Amino acid sequence: MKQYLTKRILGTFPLLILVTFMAFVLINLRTSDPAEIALRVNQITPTEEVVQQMREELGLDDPFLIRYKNWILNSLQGDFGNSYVNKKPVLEELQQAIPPTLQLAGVTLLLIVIFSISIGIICSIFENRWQDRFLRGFIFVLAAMPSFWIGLLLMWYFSVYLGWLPTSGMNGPASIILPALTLSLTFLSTYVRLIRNNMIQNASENFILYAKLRGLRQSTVVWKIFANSIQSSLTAFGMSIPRLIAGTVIVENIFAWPGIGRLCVKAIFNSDYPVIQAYILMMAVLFIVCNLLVDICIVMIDPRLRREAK
Amino acid sequence: MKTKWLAGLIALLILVAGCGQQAKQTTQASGEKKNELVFASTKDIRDINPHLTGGELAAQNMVFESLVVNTPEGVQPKLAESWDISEDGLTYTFKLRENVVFNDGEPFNAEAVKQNIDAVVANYEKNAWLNLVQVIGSTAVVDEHTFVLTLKNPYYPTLEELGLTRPFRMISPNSFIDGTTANGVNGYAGTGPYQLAEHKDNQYALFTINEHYWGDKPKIGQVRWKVMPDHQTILLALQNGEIDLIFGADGDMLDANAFTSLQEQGKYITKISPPSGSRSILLNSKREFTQDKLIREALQYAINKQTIATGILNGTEQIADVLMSKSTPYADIELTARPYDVAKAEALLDQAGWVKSEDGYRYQEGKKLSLMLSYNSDNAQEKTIGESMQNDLKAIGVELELLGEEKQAYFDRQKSGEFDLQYSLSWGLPYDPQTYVSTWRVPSHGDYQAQAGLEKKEWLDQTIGEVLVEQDEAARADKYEQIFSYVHEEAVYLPLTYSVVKAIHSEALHGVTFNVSQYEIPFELMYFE
Amino acid sequence: MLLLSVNKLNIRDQKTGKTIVRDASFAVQANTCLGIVGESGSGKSMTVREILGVNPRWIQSDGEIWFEDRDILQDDEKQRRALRGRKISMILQDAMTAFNPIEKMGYQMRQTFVQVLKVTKKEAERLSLDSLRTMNFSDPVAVYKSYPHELSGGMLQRCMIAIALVLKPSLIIADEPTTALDSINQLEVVKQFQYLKELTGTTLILISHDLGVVQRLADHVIVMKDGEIVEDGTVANVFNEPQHPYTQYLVNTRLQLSDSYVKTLQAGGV
Repeated sequence: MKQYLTKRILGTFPLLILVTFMAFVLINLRTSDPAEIALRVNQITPTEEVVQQMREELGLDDPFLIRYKNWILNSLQGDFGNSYVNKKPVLEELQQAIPPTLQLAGVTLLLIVIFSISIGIICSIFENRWQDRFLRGFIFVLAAMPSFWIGLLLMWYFSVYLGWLPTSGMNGPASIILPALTLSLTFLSTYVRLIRNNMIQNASENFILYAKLRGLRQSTVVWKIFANSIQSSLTAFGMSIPRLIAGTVIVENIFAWPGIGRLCVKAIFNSDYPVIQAYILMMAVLFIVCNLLVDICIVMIDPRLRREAK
Repeated sequence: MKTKWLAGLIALLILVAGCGQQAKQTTQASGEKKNELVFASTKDIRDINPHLTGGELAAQNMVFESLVVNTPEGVQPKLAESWDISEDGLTYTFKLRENVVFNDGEPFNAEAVKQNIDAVVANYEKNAWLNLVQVIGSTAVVDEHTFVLTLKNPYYPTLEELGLTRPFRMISPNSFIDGTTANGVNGYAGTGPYQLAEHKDNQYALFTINEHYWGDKPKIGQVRWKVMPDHQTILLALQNGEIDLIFGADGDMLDANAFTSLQEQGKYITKISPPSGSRSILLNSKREFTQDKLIREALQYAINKQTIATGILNGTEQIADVLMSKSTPYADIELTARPYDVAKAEALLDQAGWVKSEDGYRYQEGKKLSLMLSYNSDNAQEKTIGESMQNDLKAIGVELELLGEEKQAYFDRQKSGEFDLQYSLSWGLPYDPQTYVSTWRVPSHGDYQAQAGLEKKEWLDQTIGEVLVEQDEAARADKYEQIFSYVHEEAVYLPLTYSVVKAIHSEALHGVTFNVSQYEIPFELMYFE
Repeated sequence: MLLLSVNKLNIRDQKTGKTIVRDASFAVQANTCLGIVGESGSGKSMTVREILGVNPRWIQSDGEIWFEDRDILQDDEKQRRALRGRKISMILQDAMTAFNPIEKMGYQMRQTFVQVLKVTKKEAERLSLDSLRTMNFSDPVAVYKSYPHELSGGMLQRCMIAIALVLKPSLIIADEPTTALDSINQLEVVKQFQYLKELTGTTLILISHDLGVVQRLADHVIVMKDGEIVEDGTVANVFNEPQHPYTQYLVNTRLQLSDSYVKTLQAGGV
């Protein structure tokens, strides 16, 4: 087990280096002069002198690899440079923006788990009967709707029409409901289908038949189907975490939720490269780490895989 | 069993919907006079240091004031009660208002004014976009309430530029860092009617009344500047009662259709300002086809501006026949309009030797008359206007290619001049005309690039330089007339409409007006009833 | 005494419209072993599953199945469930997939006894370990703590028999208990069934297409082909004087196969 762990962890480093290098290269392929961009963003007319001053400030005259090395070394210490837009350290911006996104992703994950499990179970119990078809049709329609539309619809209904919830912003527990609901509905179809299909598949397994034959209670049998289905869905749920964190962009924009999705979009529109670079780096690390954690969890939970890991 | 569930669920939903409506009505009926104005913007206020350009103008305007203020009646006193200008136009002596303090308690006096102005001029590179910064020679304190400003050469827009929202507004010297404001400030102590009480980055900013304010205190105790990046959300929040006011020009405003539909609903008050800026198309005199004046003129007659004004802008903006609206200083001159006249446009192209072929487009020596319109792909309105123009030009046999690029690439193109047609939006009052025409001399501006091929470009730039320092009112007016006439003659600008500022607010809010500058929002004049 | 009596049982697949089992009638005397012989698809498994009521929803049947004092085909689901495990037990063909892969063996056994026999957990544990010992496991505790994938097919088969032993049902149905095993394990299992029969006197229904196993264990035999019962009689009669051509064919072919079976018996040195 330890061997497996060390091997996996060591394997992530080359991947991280590759991703960060690619990100740095791609961003530096831009044709516009970053010094000019930094000025334009603050509505300063880029005359020759002021551009030169900016280039020196940003250290843009150093050769490429030196800049990459500096960036990596600084990033490891948490110094991602300063935002072009407001001159504040990028780290500070990230630190401010990450907790809201984590909150949103967390609540969304909870909703996804609750909805997909309940709907998935219902669907599998009524397999191919009208309840199953209706629910699947509904989920399908949801999947076809773009998230911003779902968001605005929900906002209109619950905020304007019913007046129950605020439209946007992050003020108190009520304001996380609509964004989390919107985000969860967008992702729901994948997981409902997953749970439903797993449940149906497991229900026809031999060990379920035998469980019934032994005379076990109905609820016990359903639980066994469920427990096996969850096992196989764990990887999917686990990998949904980085997907969720990266996918909050649209929802954060609509609901004025001050998370990193919104930060990234703003940075892209403003060509605020230090922020964009830091965001890519962070997301890459997040994906890789999550992947690793999920794999480890799976191995620990499923007894059959534990043997292989040994 | 299952049907019972379904019926119960439906009944519950109906009940809930009914409750919702009830809830809305009761809160409206309570009739408490609001003391907080909630304003929505797509942008955060960021850093409102009055000497730099890194924050929102409307926010800076609430907290900081200048010596003078620009009004429709011209320059009026603000922190300076009166002033004298020397004969040679080089020395401005200001008599400052007494008993004024910054909201941190620091007294407002000549010393503070000197420190402020010196700080702005010292940060030369960043502020030289404003001519006044280049022209200031020295500052001096005569006594506590007398301040003298000396220029290097006479510059007639001195007072107008002092009154702009930035950079010449007063901040308490205590807020300076290491004797300067160039690297930021450690507080926002101004003399304005409001002060910044709370700021949550990218969420909201809360402004409260400045208790030390020397003038009439605002009637609304608090202004909450809420950040909402999505326009649809802003629309819904207005309908929900979460925000009271939407205010702005293109960027921070709902699109034309949303605005019109709100107007028609009748539940909100919509206001439109007098024309504030000029929306026009630059025709590049240095490029292969548009260097021919006949072609430029033909384009002027070919565009149906009515379609744009009515169909795209929903009648909110007036059609512009000339670059500067008559209400702009020195632009109240007679220039021959070039109205929509397809026959005339075709005749001009024929005259220029461009022959229409079977495919509908014009050719000369095997070359197709094809032009490119460069626009910012973030701006959906620009694209729609471009498409309308594309149609108009096709009718006279000119192919118009629309090239939408992301912001930075668009600006790069503006700078390099690699465009046939591009949008130009003037700054609006009080920057027009002097600041606007001044930028025509700067190569990194699209205006310069478009004018670069003109025969008398050098003369134009020189005249612009002269008009800024011309003391004599009549001579000045004459020079401006020459500038505008030349540019109009050469058809280098295709004027479309005069832009406006729009406001939408709830019925309970009153006193919503417009300042001379389209970027300022006069919150201090608003009140609830 | 008649323990189970099946009368004119028809089983239909609603999805395809086919009749899988046609007019099946047979009886099982208490304390005997009935062998059901036939190829795959002959309807053997369907029939016994119908006795237990675990066929999918789209399988319909009519006829009578008399057990204890009533026609259990008329029972509701609750009554059918009450019979499963407690009164009628079944041992499945593929032991390797018969147990929940994510639960330990001991847990599954204990859970069964707690729910079906209504005993305490401690008592259930004791019963489990005792039964494993009876099934000749050298280390019952190790088996108890193992996961299904850690045991061999033969071991798992014996666990199933162990569970059936503890539940002490009136009727045990074994569906192809030796088919999925290699010949050494087959031998083990056959011995266990013999032991079951002799010691506990439980009534057995044994399904197999392996005539050797049937001959060894069964008292009575029915032969099924294409959903119909074509032969019905004592083991001696059916194997020595088969009436139906199909049975004759089976008996003849089997003679060729049984040689290898006997050889393995002898080679195993038992």
